[in-house]
Amino acid sequence: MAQPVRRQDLRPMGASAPALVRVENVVKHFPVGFGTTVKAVDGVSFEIRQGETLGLVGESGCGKSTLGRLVAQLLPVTSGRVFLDDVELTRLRGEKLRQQRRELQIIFQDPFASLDPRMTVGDIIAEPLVNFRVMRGKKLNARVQELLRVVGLNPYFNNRYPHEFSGGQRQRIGIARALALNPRLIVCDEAISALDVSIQAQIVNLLEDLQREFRLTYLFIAHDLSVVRHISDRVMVMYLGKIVEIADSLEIYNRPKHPYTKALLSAIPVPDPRVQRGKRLIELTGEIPSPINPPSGCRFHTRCPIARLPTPCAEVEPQLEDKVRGHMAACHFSQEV
Amino acid sequence: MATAAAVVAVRPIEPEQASLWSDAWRRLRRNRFALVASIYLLLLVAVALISTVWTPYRMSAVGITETYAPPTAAHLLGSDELGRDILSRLMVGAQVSLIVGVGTQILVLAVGVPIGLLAGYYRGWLDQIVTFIINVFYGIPDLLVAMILVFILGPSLRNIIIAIVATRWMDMARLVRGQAMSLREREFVEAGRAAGARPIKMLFGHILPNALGPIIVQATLGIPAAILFEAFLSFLGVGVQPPTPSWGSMANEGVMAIQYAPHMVIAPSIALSLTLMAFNFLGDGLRDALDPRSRR
Amino acid sequence: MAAPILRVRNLRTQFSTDQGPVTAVDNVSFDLYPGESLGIVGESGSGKSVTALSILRLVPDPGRTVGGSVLFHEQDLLQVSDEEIREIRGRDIAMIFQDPQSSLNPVLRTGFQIDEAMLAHKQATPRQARTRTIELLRRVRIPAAETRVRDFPHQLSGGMRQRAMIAMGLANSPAILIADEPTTALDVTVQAQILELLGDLNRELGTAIIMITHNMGVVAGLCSRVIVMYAGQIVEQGPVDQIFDQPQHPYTWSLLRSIPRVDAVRHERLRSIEGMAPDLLHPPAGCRFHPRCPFRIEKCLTDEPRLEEIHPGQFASCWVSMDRARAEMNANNLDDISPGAASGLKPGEIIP
Repeated sequence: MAQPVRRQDLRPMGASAPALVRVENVVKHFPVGFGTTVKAVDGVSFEIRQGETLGLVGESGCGKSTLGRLVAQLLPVTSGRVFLDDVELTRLRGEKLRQQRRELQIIFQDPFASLDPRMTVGDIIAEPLVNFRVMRGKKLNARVQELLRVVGLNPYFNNRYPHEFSGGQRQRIGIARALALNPRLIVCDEAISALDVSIQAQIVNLLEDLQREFRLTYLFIAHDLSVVRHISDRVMVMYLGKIVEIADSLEIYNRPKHPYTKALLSAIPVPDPRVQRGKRLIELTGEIPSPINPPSGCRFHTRCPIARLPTPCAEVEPQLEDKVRGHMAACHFSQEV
Repeated sequence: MATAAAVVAVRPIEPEQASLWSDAWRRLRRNRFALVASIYLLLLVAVALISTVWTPYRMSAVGITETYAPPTAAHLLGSDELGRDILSRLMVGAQVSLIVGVGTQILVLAVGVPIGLLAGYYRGWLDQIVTFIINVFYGIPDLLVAMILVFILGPSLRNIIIAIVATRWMDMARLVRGQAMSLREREFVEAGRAAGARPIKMLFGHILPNALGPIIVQATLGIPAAILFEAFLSFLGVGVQPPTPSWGSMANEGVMAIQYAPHMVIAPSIALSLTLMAFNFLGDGLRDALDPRSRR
Repeated sequence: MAAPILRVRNLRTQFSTDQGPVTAVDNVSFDLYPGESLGIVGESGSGKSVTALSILRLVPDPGRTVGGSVLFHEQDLLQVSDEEIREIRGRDIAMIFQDPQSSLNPVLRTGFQIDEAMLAHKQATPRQARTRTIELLRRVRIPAAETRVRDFPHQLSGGMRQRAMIAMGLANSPAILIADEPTTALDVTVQAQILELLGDLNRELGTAIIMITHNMGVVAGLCSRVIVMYAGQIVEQGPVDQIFDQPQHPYTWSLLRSIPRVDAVRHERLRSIEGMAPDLLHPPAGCRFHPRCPFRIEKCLTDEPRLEEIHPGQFASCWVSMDRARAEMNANNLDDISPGAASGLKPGEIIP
């Protein structure tokens, strides 16, 4: 909270860092009765590199939160594989999977719902340490107080209950809990969306500081592309259960290669009247189709301003492929975007 | 950290630790009815305890005064058909009522809570079996189950409690199952899983404490129901056996003499009604105090 | 400039709580001009929504407007009878809310509910109302309006429902449309469409809009004038361009600097405002922003500033104001914006 604020570039160790997490062709279908399924995540592959922040954006219902939980192993996959280093997480069950949870933590969206109201803040932060029998007694207490200090809270607050704290403070508690086991990957699932603007900046800065200090890797999920772009090294855009684009966060703004990304960028309001008034909105026609019965071919073709119908867009599914070095998009006509 | 330290130093640390429980306790105390009910119930417990060592007269002593005697200074509530002191019998009857009421609910908790937790948290085939059994038990009439059980096991206080539990455990199991089902979807439960909690810890460390409010209310409201059921069984003559007095059997004897000794039925009926009311008021008070939806 | 159609003066709304009254709106005054689009921005608890609700006397229990006046066509909306205010709501001043789901009755057809909005004010016959409803749904760009009019609210998507709500708000051609966070629950692509629609309606129909939002970007796109609220009070107001270019209140200034921009060309650390909004049960003495303000001076701790015109049309309530902070405290190059950082008035030294 009180680190001196320095203007500095926080770009991380570089794009060549090895992969920490590999996601291969992961599918998650939720049965909704009468033999129909919601295809929440429908075949996605990507990797998260050691020490980077990978942003994941998309609109409500695109499957981004589900994907986050699949990576964090809070939901079982329908098919596909998730690796942490060389360990295939999706094959583990029971105690073996539980042991891997030390490496994977998650920060939730709702700081009011994600803390057990019947537990003290100290017990909440200590829980992972107790569950894995890492430490106990005085040492445990000291660690909890240290974690509280790390996230910018008064270390003597450990006897208090969550409802005595504001939204921003609760989110700091959730972050302290996620840090307790020194995890390698933290999934931030809309971790700042529920907070006020001025508090959002505090938490974003805290996450950045912690990443540097503890060499953390983040999967940062949010619907707000401006925040995601700010915090992420690379940004991944999801639409209707599929990844449509992955690119460096600077690149994705300057040269989007998927028409959906472009429309999304044009829709984000910029806090600058001159820029905002001069902006041209790329209006998407129609509504997001149902994930129960997604469109054939390219899932975006029903709303795409540059789609060529019926073929190839409505018939051939475009693959997510390298368009420029390290810039992947799933579009037949990405050169026209 | 310099500025943070300065802030810490200047801001006094408040000692107050307001847990949700202490919050609920504060609200409960503000509820007049619940407060009066609690005082009444404490007195009742005291009376029941005293009656184990002292009663005005021996409760089974026959003919210590004339039969069917109306209330007098010596026998405040009069005497019954065998000339026994009604006040003494009423005091001992409080033991029976409290043991039945509290005893059944302890057993109901012991049976219903684990079953409900497991079914609600794990869902799947386990849940289907539990739901099936619950529905079967609901299908059989209470009285029939209880009477058959008492006939098989023999009429004793213990067996009556078992019989009542057999007809009441489903309410608790069903409530806990519902609570577990909704709580398992909450983010803090997911957070517990992410924090590596084992299944036992999930059930008893996260789900149960958060379901405790409704469980306490249900158990409290279950006490008068059990007391009433025992009284009813005793009234029908299949309850606790003479000479042990139960408010139900006393009322039964009183009804036969209602024409010429109405005090015999009035005394146990009032005791029963007051006790039932007190438990219900306490239960409602607890509901208001513990229900998070009533919180602003 | 024309005469204002709405004059809010010294509005004060309180909520009673166990621990005493909380003043959610404290002495708020502003004017709304015909056909303009006024933004009210603030964070949660700033009083922006309660201000809007107070205007139409819709403050929920245990809230009560305890002072001030709201002048609309020479009558004080806080004084007129319940019957009169009901007539004014929906006919002269319409309001749309954040959650269109709960504002529409789920068991009645959408079109019927819009018809009702007109029939309730005896503005049309049922047949005329239905014709106008379809026209309104077209106007808010609901495709296939003739068939959509018979849909139940749950058959419409979130964006469509908000469009239907706007159509209902416009049904009686009100002079003022109050929109309380109308896009907060919507996806960005839908939000952009709704904002464009509101902007068009404002220009084409001349309906004055009060846009209540926490999103500075929304204000930048839609509004011509903006009011910034903090802890129940107006801290700054003025033309949008001026407020964004030259904010005069340190809160506005630091808020604008703490928002990440999607068009940022390089990564810079966000300059967050430290601390949190004050507890309105015990608001700080003096300026309410002083516990978080990098430019506070001793006067700020004790004396409450008033709104003063700093540039033509631009008012701020600050003893320092950013012009001075820039000149004397080097604000533009300030990286550390912790409380008192620029003025040297640090927390440890002032709290006894």
